[in-house]
Amino acid sequence: MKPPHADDDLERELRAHVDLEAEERSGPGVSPSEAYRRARVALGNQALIAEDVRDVWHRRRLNDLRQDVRFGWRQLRRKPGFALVAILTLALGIGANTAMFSVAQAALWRALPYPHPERLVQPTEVEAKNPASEWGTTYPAFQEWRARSHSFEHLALMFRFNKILSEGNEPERIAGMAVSGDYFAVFGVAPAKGRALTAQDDRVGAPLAMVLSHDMWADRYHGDPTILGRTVNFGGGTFTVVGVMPAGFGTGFNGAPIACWVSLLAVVPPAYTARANLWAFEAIGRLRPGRTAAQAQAELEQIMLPIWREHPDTNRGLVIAVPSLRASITGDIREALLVLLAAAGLVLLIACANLAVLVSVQVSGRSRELALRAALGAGRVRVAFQLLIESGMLAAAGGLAGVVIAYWATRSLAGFSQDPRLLHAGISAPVLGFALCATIATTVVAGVVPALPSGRARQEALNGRTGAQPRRTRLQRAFVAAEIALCLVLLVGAALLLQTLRNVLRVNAGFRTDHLIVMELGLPSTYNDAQSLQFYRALPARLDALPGVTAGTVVSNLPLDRGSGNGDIHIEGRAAAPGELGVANFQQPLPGYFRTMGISILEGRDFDGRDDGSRERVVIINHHMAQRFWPGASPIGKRIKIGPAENNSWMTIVGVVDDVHRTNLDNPMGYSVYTPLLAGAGNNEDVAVRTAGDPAVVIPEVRAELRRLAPGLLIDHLGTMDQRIDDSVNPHRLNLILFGLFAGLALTLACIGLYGVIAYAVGQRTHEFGVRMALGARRAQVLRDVLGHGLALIAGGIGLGLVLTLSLAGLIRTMLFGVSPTDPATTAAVALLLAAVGLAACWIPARRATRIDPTVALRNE
Amino acid sequence: MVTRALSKIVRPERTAILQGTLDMLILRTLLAGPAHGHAIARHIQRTSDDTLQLEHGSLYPALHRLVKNGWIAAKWEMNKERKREFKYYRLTPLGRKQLAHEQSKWALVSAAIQRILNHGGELA
Repeated sequence: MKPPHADDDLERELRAHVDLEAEERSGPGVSPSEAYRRARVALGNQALIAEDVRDVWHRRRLNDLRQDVRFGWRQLRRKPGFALVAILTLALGIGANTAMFSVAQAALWRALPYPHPERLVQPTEVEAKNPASEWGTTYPAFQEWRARSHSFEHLALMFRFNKILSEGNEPERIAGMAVSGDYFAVFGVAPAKGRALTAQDDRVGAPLAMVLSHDMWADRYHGDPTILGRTVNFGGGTFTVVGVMPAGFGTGFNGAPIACWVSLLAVVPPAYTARANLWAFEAIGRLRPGRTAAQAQAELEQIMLPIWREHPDTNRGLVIAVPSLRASITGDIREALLVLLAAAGLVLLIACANLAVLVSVQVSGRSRELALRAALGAGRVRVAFQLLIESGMLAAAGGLAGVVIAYWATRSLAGFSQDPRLLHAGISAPVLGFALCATIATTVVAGVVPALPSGRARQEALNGRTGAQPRRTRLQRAFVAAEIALCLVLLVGAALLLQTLRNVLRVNAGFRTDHLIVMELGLPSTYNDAQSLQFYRALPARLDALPGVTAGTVVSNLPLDRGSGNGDIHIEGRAAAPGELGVANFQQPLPGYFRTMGISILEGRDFDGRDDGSRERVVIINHHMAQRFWPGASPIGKRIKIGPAENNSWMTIVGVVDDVHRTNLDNPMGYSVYTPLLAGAGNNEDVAVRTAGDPAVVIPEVRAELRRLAPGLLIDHLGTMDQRIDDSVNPHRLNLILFGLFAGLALTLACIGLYGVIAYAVGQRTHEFGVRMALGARRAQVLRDVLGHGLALIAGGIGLGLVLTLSLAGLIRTMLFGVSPTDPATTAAVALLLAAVGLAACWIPARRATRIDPTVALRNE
Repeated sequence: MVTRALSKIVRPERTAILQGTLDMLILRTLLAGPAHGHAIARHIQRTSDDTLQLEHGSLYPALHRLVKNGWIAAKWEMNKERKREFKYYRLTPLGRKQLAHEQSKWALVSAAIQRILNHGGELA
């Protein structure tokens, strides 16, 4: 505002003035110097003038600000309760939002640590009917894509697996990735040491080369500078370490960080890569500059169409999708995070409305003071500015406290969720920017809105009529009703998630989950298949002998695990296209597995010692599959195949067992088949141990016994089944905790707002109530009057909230299990609860109204 | 009476309402056309028949305040007769409106003061 060189400018202006004045005053009898003296006297003290002018431009405004701040501070100090509630409200509102934003930012919007990450895509085959089902792709399809598509600068294939890495006596199961030649070129990230894998390595028969992740190198090899050239045993092969990737590469997606990379053709058997119906691989590509994902999608589909036509076996109603790398990384948590962010946003809205109401009530109480200040020359803008300063001070304090809360909340959230994608959540520059924006928005809403009616009200207030101003009161009521409406939305959401968690926990897992120790074992690679089988076959007897153990058993994949293999179902005598009958997951248990796990055998028999593959091949299916394919009939004796029809023999169904949830409790039940482990075990199998007492006591015994039986044995994920179930419902629990916190916060805020408005209204009507009671009104009537006033607000808010709830129902659908987002019973129960709590908040001021002493009320007049 | 009240403007200490009066006089002066500070002072003194002893020093903060409010604009311009640059002030459209507003307000206030002064003698 202040013009440049203002001081020089003013001096020049004043000099001109003095010159002109001196010229006028000079004349006969007056010397030029005398004329100048008189001119300067007429002008006055130039330093003072300069000071005054500077004030006009600059200092006056700063003084005003300082004054406003000091005045605001005094106002807040006079009402510490109000200030505390307001600051706390904002701190929680801004804190919740900042924390959620920080998590969402880390997971959804943080730039991926690769050059031009927006060009990275993950082409995949998806079911046309269900675009969320990403099948990945097959090796032959990938070969066609790589040879014939022009959309990609680089296109690579990857295959994730866990294998045991060992040198000497330190075996460790690590997450590895087998990648095709262009993999590292796709990302455009150079290794920190040595070289990356290239097309040269990706050949059958090429020397086995391995690239380590930074963490693997730092943790297992303690940053050994001579790591390059070292040989390690990984999954039975001897690999030479040729490179180390920089820190952070191989992390940040769902699942364990990748510890090492090896070449795809070096480790994936030809039987896998030759099959056009084995969707075991994920593709990743870097689009050429200027190419879009849609173009790539169209091109890949053009390539696939003739293949699908000629080989129906390669298509199961699939189409091509080309999601961005970011979308495939965050696909499953994106919606939940956005819904939670929106929920936090609602809390901030409520906090804003609440603060606006509180400030507005305060302003109403101060209308005389503000009117007086206006009359004494403070402009309307200045009065509004004063209010803005006051709410700004509150918001600044709230914002600061909010950031502290957010820091703490983000840490606990990332720790609780254990999701590697949230690890980067923290207080970063964008997060602080978000908190600042939230604070400024709050200041404006809470500071300006209450100030709006002040102009009109001024006259009345000065006339001594300090009564409620209809416009402001209406505004307060509207805000409180809105708070209640938003609160209802959050409460309904929390209630739905509570039912979801309860429904998930109530799901019958299909087996006895208590008193059950579970683990994954890995025998050293020195064990051949026969030795492995011998070890696992003998294991139950050794475990049974331990004190506290009821029974031990072995299976290829325990329930509620990462999942097992799937194969197409074929049924003897039923002609069907491949995959038409669906897929079944399969696992191999030892005899006695079903009894130990508590899985009921509904029909037929369990496996026994003779089912070792030497005789007729046998299979046990689950109830779900029996119901689907042999409804009302017995499947015993029927023959099926699982997997490619051509290279398998028929298996005879000998039993039907109860349904067991394979991966998550909330996944729909699938078809399961069990084949005998005795027909062939590998190095890696799962073990379950049923205990009589507390499983935690028995765990060390089990571990010690296993170590005795097989030195160098790898024991992973040793724990109880209850713990595993607990972990599997963790995302639901986290959703509930966050939503519950937000809803609780919202309820508290809405009650404070409601209380504030009703208490203010009672204060305003003290005189009226006094008169009415003096004239014989009963206390109950006054009470009913005040509560009715509150109830009208609550009912309005709930009505609006119900409309909102119905229109927002679709958003939360994917987070629910076993309950509809518009569940009438839930909604009604929550509405009633909200009404009851709201009425309770009105009760206190209503009681105060009934205690008004008519004589006191009237004397005040 | 009005004269006596106005003469107080020109003292360094002044009250809000009188400050507004000086603003009005400046705006009214500039209605005739652009002028520099000295000419404005001269004009106010001359047209009030030298009744208003305007201390020139108080004029400049007022001028700058009016510039800041956007009611007048300032520009250094060459005076051809004197071959010298002076800072000329001219009225902006906003200032024109403000002048009209202040004049009507002043008419009300002076009439009210006049009435009080007329009745004041009788009561005393």
